[in-house]
Amino acid sequence: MRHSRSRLLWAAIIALAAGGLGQGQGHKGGIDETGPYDAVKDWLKPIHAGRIQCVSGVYADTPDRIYLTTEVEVKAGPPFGGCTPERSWPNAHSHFLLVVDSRGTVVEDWSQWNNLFGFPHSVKINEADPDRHVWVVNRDAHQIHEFTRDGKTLVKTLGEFNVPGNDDRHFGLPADIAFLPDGTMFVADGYYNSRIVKFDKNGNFVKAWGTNGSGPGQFKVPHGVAVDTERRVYVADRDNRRVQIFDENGTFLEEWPDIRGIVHIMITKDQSVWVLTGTTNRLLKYDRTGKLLSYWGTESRQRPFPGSFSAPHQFTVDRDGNLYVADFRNQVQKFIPKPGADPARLVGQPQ
Amino acid sequence: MSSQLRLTSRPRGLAALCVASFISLSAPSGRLDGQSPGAKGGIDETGPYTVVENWFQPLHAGRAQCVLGVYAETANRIYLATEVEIAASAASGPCTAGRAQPGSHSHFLLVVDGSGTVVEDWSQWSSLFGLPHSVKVNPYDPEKHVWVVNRDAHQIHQFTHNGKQLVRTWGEKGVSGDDRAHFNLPSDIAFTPDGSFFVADGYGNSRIVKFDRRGAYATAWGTNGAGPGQFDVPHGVTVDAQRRVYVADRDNRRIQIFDENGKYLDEWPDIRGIVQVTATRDGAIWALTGTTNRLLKYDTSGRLLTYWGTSNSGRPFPGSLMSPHAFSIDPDGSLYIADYRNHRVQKFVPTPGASRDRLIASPLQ
Repeated sequence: MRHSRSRLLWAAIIALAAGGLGQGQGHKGGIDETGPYDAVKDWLKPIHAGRIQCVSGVYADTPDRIYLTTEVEVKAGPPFGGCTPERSWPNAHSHFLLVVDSRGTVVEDWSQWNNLFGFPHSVKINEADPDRHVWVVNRDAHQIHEFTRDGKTLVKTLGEFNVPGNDDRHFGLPADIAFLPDGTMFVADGYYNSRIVKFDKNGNFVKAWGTNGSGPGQFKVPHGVAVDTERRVYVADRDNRRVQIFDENGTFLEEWPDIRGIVHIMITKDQSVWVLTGTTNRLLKYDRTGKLLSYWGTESRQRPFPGSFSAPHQFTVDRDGNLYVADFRNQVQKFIPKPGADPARLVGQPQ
Repeated sequence: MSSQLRLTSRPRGLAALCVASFISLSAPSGRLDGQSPGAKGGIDETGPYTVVENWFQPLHAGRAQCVLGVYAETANRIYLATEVEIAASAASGPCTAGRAQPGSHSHFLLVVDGSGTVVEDWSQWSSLFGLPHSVKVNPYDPEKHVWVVNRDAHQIHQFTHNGKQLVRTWGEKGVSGDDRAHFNLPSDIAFTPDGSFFVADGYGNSRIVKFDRRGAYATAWGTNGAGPGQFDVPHGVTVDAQRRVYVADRDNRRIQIFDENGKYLDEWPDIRGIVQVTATRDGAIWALTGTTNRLLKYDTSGRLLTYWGTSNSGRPFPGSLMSPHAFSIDPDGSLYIADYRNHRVQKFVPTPGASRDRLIASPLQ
């Protein structure tokens, strides 16, 4: 009895130790290139041969229905930098809103809405919404759109087309959106404005907070927003390189500094806080007190390789635990948990 | 009663050990020092170290050094092998083109003190140099001779500690070859306690060359390729306490391990961008990767234990790396990184409270 018990414990020790960096026992070498995940090589199938999508946003509705917002379609191959200049090129083609299945094949192109779009910056679903409506933050048109799941109906629009402003009916290049289970919304607004705007479930303006600056409650490009189960609002304050946390009425609670390049923030069911950094190409896990627990991410300095990052922009997980990272020139990449990966290093389910 | 105590206490002890193993082996998950308790945020940008900002003092105002090699003999005597001096305002990137520019100036071999000030410029030897790729002091040599791997001249030079004398040269200047008397773009050198040494040779050849303690050719092994015992740019070499030879086989993205006579023992794959490998006194093997900008710690069985390193996609910031090319540890535990594409050498000191498991111990070399 004692013998088998200690044997079990030793087995647990070995399993935990081996699981640490997502490695199997006896594994040699490696640089933790894709952390606890394996990258699916060439997952997204091209719409047109030799061309790729510059993907700004990604949200997994199901493992077989993944929404992408894209900036523009460009020629595959070098250069491997940003995509913005190509938007103004003659014959620039943008698909804006694509739906992809589990094999990475584009199954829907919501081109019926192309005339709406400036630059769709983020796409999300309110996980508490039984109808799974699709919300698109349409940055360059200064609008937020709510679509039905099939994209056939535009349910609601916040903001005025192509008119920036910072009152209760306008945005200034909004960046992201987050939801409370009751439908209350927070908009990170944005590249022009420096505020968080709160709306009720019907889309009525409730309040806004924030000015441009670096002090508590000030922002420099609030680029991402998320909400925890205690209705606290976490803001990825990009150019201040920090997370700021507020109560739902905008009272400043605290900040987590020195998060260079932060672009996206997500809170999982287990109340871990996951952060994606663009310029530093990292996916990081914090606890709710702001303590850094783990991270991974490998930049592709010259030529991209499967699983490498080059200024990633938004990430999502599906209900099977697969991870998707939108990464402009790297399009969108799908990552599958490695067999035996340490669960503490895997992104949990969205709340 | 006593047996019951044993039963309860023992699993507790094991559980504690279990947690300890998990934490020490799982960084960069687990304990990410030097975070102080209660620390918030951060991205482990410089791992367990704090960067000394603007440590290196420019030789000429507005100019920067493209540093390929660094070796810290003491905290107050650090050797740098440099490619060329360029404008400090130049964007991060390779410096090779700068060598051909009119008025380009190279210092090749500099000695820097603890304050980052250049105290010696061995310009008396400038005529020797093509591209000094690596600099090392034989740690087992009481006279602390300085060895420079002169890549583009296909030579290895041994200097006295003060640089006044060129004691000996291996290879023929400007003449490449793969026989006993020539190299082809050699890249690095490593020493054993008895004075024998190994040369990673190199960009042109694909072999390791062993010399005995008198400097006579002993043996060589390796051909170009990706199989066991083959190389594709053997870029770095080190020897551990068991006299095993570790080779940073750069373009094969791996470490290969041999006995001192060239018998193949093992390989550790998937180390993208590896440029340097160093064995430390605590039995760890550290790798530096260029294209992936990382310092990684392995145990002698090849298991990855921890790593850190943050690249700059735009302008460099203190502690960021872009294609680092060499690192060295001084006797006080400070770390120096030749941050090649950022045109600088950076000094890092251990952050107070940092976990020893994440710090680089004293090197054997």
